[in-house]
Amino acid sequence: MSDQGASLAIDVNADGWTIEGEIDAYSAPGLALALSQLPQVDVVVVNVAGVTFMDSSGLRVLVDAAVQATESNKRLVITNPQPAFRRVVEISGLTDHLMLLD
Amino acid sequence: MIINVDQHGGNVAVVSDSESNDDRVDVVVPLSARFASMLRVVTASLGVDAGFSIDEIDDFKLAVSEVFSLLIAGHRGDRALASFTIGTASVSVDLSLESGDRVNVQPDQLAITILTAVVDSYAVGESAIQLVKHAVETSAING
Repeated sequence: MSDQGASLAIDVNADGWTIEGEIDAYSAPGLALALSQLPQVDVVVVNVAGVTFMDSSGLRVLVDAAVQATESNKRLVITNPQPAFRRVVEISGLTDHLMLLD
Repeated sequence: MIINVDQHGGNVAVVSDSESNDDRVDVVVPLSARFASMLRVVTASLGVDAGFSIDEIDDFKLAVSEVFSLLIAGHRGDRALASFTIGTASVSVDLSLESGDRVNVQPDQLAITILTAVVDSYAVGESAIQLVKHAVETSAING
């Protein structure tokens, strides 16, 4: 049977990652693995312009990455969130934990 | 309509039951995270049918995905039954185990916060988790 799972592409950049696709319980472990290796920059950028869906699985991964960045004296910034992405962060009450930039 | 997805048979089988009520759709899906996206596609389609706005469809997909993840956590390897009922500008869905066994889900605070925000009501029962979503924005536009 062909793979039915959520499709998520993770591209590595000099200052972080560009993510495209859906972040759910299926794709979140791969994202967590990718984000566990923070780049050697002060401001780590996660470009989520291409993220079309995210549930709490993705939120947990991003919060964990943000905490890891803080503990490493870095800052994690999430850029170009789509309205649905921003809404998930806002309704979850995590705007103090995840820095979103348009 | 009954949609039955079998991960062991190598094919996706779609079976229509012409004798069933047209406004009810049952989806049986393996409790594996890789089928969450398929369930969201069905959820979105039924949301469109009920007249949901794009934001309402996104909310409903999020709720179904959250509950499906909760079921996976407690019953990985079983099969879930998602029974959708399409009403007038509303959709409800009962997510349960196909076997009819008691469901064991333990939503954490984050899941509860999300569910509270994105559906009109949710209820965790012994045999199913029920979500209800109304098309508020469409109703407001149409008066």
